[in-house]
Amino acid sequence: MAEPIQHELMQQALEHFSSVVGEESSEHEYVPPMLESPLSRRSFMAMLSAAMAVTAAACRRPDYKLVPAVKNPEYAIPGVPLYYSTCYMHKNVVHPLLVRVREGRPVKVEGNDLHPIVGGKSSALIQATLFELYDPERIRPILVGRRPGVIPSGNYSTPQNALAKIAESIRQSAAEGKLTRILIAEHCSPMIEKLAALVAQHVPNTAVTVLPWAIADGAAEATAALFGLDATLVPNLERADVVVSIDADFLGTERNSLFMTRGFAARRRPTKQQPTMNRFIAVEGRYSQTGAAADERIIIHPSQYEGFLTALYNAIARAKGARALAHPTSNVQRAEAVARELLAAGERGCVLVGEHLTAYAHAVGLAINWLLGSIGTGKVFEHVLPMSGAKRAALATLRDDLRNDRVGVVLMSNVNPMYTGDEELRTLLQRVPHRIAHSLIDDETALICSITIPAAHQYESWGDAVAFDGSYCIQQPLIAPLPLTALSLGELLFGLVKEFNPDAVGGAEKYFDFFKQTVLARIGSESAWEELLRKGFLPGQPTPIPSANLAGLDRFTPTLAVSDLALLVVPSSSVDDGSHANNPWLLECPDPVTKHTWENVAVMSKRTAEKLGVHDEDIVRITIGNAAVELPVLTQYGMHDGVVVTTLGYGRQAGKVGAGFGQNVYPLTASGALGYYAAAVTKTDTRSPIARTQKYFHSQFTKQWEPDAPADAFRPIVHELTLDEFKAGKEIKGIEFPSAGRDGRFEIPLNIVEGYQYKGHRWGMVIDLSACTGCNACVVACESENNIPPVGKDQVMRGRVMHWIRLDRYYLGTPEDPRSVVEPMLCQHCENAPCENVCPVAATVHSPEGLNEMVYNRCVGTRYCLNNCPYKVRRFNFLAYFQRFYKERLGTEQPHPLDLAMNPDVTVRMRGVMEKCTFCVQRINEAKYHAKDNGHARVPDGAVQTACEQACPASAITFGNLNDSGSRVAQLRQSERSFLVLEELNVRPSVTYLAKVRNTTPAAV
Amino acid sequence: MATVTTAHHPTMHVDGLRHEREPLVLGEPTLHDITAKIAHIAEDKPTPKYLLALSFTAAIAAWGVGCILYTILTGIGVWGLNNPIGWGWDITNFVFWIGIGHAGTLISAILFLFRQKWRTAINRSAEAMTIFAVICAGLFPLIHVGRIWFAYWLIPYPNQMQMWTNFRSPLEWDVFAVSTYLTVSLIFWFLGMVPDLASLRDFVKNKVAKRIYSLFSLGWSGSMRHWHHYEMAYLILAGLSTPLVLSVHSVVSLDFTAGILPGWHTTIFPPYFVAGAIFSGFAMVMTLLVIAREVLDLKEYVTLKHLENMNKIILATGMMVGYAYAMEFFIAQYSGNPYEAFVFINRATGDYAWAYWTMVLCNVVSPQVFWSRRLRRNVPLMFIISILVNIGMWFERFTIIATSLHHDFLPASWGYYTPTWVEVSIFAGTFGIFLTLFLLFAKYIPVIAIAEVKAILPTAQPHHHAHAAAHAPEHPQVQPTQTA
Repeated sequence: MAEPIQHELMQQALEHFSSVVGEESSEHEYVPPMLESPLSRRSFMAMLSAAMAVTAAACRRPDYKLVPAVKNPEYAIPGVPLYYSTCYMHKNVVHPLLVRVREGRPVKVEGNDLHPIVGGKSSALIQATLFELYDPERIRPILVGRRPGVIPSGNYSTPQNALAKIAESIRQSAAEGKLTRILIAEHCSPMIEKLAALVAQHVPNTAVTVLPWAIADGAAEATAALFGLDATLVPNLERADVVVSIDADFLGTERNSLFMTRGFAARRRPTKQQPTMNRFIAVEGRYSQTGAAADERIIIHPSQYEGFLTALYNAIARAKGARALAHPTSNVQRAEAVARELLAAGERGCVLVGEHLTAYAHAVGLAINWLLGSIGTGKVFEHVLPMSGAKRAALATLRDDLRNDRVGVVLMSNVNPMYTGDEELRTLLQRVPHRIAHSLIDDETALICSITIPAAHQYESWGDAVAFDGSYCIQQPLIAPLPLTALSLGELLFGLVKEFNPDAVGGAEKYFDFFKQTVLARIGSESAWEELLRKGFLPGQPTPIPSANLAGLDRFTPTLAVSDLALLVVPSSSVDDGSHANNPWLLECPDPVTKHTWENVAVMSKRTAEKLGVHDEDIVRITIGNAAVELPVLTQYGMHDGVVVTTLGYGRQAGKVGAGFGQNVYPLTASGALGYYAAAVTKTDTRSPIARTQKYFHSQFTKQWEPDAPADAFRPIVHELTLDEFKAGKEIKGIEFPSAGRDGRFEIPLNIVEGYQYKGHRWGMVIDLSACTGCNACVVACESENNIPPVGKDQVMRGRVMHWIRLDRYYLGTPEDPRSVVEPMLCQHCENAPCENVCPVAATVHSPEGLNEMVYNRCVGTRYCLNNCPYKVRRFNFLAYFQRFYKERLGTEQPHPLDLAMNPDVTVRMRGVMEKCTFCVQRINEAKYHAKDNGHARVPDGAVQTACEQACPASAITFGNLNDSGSRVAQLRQSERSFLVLEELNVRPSVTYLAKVRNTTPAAV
Repeated sequence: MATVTTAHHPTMHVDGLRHEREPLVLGEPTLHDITAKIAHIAEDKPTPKYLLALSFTAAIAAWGVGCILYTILTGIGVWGLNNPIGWGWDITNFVFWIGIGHAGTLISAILFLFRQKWRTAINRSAEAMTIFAVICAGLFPLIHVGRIWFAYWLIPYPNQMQMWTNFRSPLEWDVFAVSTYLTVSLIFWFLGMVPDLASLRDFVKNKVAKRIYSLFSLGWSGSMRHWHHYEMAYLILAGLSTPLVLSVHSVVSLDFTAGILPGWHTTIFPPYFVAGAIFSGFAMVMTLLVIAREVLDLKEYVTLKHLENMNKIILATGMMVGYAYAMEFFIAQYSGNPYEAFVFINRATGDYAWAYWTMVLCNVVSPQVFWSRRLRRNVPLMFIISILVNIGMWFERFTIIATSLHHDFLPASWGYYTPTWVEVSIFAGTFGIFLTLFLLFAKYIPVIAIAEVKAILPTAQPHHHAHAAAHAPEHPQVQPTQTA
């Protein structure tokens, strides 16, 4: 049956197709008899191909539908960020924050813009804390029964079991009459304080001891003696007209530098309408980031600091009718000149003493400020930062207990005495029978402990803190702890108290219940709690400062270590005291002055290096007593010949990212005390290359600065004015080419693109060099916002650092008294961009809004744009840095959970692709969507902040729409101080710089 | 087939009018001698020496290719490039090889158009050298890109990405300049070879070789018609190639001139680069010829006269680049542009001063010995000078690229560049590729243009009436190709 039908069908098909194909076969065509068939070969082929075409056309992928979560987390809309207020405690300073959370994961940390002490600003360290949250090396499980020094060892445990085990050891050791010591880092949390009190009360023989990594007791001791406060005073520099610093790096490594930078920078931006600014005199032997910003530097040997202060005090005391000090003085003439300026400023003058200096220096400094009248409500010194007693004494007590084997259990929470301690302390600690560590990563201390508990990061914990202005800040978790069994310090202490006395915690079942109860008891109501969570803080009053008892001065005598070659040990500008030494964002963050990365070095003057017979990168041995450290030398202008500076925080042995870089300087110090030491420095025969991000610091590359300079080259790439010059209206001059027009001006050069009109937005930026202190906050903020990979020391040495914004520092003045100008350099988004016309594949193009856009997936990687960029701000991915960096260190190309730290709005670039600053185009677009949603045609001024602008504590960066004549950026562009870098090239950058202004005129009555 | 062997002809030297110049071919070979001599090279079994040399160069080439693969698989980071210095040995080598590739076409095409008969001895190897050098040159822009798998995006072709290339970019111009030059040079070389390939086809006994030569000789029969078309085509191609000699290197120099970098942004580059290219090209031909002359025993064909002529050109072009160096330096200072002025002083006294002075010594000073006729004809000396010139010309490109990039506008971003072993290996590897190809060429392709050499023999000169009788029995056919 089937056959005839088929036959018929074929017949029809044949007829049909032959008409289509237009082939009349029939009689003329030879048909072999054997193959006689109604279907010709041609028709068969035609049908076959038609069938194939139909089949192909009919193919489609099966449909899959995206099913949204049945129960969506509250407020969570995929792709829409949420912002939570929280805070980060760094030492005893709290930074109120606003954290951007995307799909349940924190991706960017910003200062809380509502809080007066941060005002939405942050620092390099704060920005980098995000990495530590996602550090792939964080301890994951709780381990009990670890064998010290053996990895891996021990068994997994639960928090309950671990706490029970710890409680058991405490009971056991208490039964033996031994003590339990819980060592914690500095903090400013009332909750921890309360829990510590509960621990002392309810846990037998147990006390919580605050034992910071590095110790700087001077200020606290002096404040206690003069004011009876266990605290230090924090200046509000916005109120100060004359600032005198005695070796204080208040814009750099000292605590509260964020607040001080904000205040200081606010007074460094004179305008034509208001041509006033503060005056800053730095007295120092080193060349600190702060000293580099000074209007006047007085370079003296550290042994003279106390004499200088005494002379200063005596001059002021004479004027104020107070008793003079009988201690030796030095540099009296200069001190008296400074005193005259301070007296002229009166209560708007202040003296800041470096936190590493002696109690005597601090006491004299406080007395001067008191005499000037700058301490008190509404004055420069209004804020009080509580300190938890003298750390050296606490350490001495602990050492004594350890020596006498009185300690049976030691629990170390986020402290690292096995790294910071001296040899004796390390040995003593290992004699303690029960050692427990509570830390983020498996550090040196965790390795000697039998129980290790993963610490919850501050962004995973409930907590609170009191800021020095008295405001009460909440720390709310932004994400569940990434290690599932991680405990915060609060939870740990709470758990311990509960183990011993469940009633002591008010019957609270969980830490959060106890926490909320306690907070509610403090703030009063549920609505206040909600406000606290929403705003992140509740305002308060700082502790009132009582009258000074100047007799307290007599308690101290000048003691500063004196030697011809004084070694200064201070925290690192990037990894601080070492508590952030496993953070590559910070490790790769260049020193603001020397621009070295990844390690600590011995910084000294060129003459001192010559005297020692060493050059840059030669290794010297620094010896104090039995301890010796070998560090590479880095020479530096502007230093006293009698000073060698090195920093703490390096030479870690734990943490695969940070270990092995630099040397541990703690053994040289008296148990981590900052300050000056009499050290012997000797030459060795070895060298160690230093990875620097900038090697030439001379805008005037002359033989004066650089004996090897091939030629004197004057380059007007940074501009500096004195305040008087600015007032007098001195013009900023660029290069004048003799070949330019008759009047020395340029004729308007040719353009590649003629007369483009930017109709909508026209994005631009203004950077105020006068405000910028070179603190690196922008560098790390950009790194976090734009998924910039760290590259490692070897690649930095090769000159391949990936930072999209760099802080160029240039010397001005003379080598004997150098001044510095820091010039943040990022893509200038030139209108006549030289990179754009040379790209053969049009991977970098100009947007209608004036952005120089980089199309990563079009980039082939010829690097021609990089070569032709006069600012050299383009960054080429020479290697697959993300994968390579972690592959080398952690053995995995995709270190979880670091992938969660990536900003989902920004592409992670692959190797072989050029990248550079985008002016945070993702933020621009977000702001444009919002503007559109709100019915605005344009983005309102200030609605879009670039990451660098948002972080900048000095508010030196302003971004906005140049087409909007009312915008801040358009106004600032009109400033008399404005100039364009390399204007003579006619590339027409969108970034305008404002010249640095220095107040070189002494303040007078 | 003419099989008459040649006797010595003292009469050849009698005619003062013809022979006041040195003969272009020594030893008065017959037409058959020439074919036999050249064809035997291809026919004979490769000597152990040859095989040794070939395996040596092939090993270097293989190592270089390995390093290229390593670069592609790992990233450009295995080279020494860094942030201010985006180009280093890669583009230096590119320009260097392109320069080498210049003399081939120049010798062949321009000397052909100017009826410089002495070119016949060297034009084939010079053209081959061009092809191989351009192959090596083309390799560098290709492998220097970060993502070689997208390098084809430089070719403007309609695509579904709706992307088009940027014709403002000099790199885009390079794509066309270099590929055109390679194509035309290749056709020119191959076309000129067709009669000789036919000779080999007829000469060789090996069946496989015969088939291959047959294929490539395109059915050449040596008929007058073939000759007529051939010579016309050759002339046209020579005419086409000549402007290319000027254009390619001018365009390559625009890679630099179109940039705004001090030390690059200068209008002297196109003529300066062309002169430099001819200079280095002749030096490389010299190096190769001196070797080939010895190894392949071609002294009768590549005479001292040829070498001397080339030395004159080396001297002249060396003076031209020397002039360019001086003028560049002068203008930089005269312009009053502080960035330009600095770059040149930095070249001469800065971190790369050693490279700059190597360049000056090799390119400007060393060829000065050729003012002396005696030294001009001293083969070992010219060999040394030719190598020095090649070194100098490499350093010229390196100096232009590295010194301009390492200290440009903003001192904060200044850096220094040293190549890694990978870059050195890749450069060595291109020499391996070049020499391997050249060795294969020298063995299997007529290294001397047989037909053209025959055309410059005295017998090929129809005016030779006085001696016609004497020559007649020995050269019964004055026909460029001997067919079996």
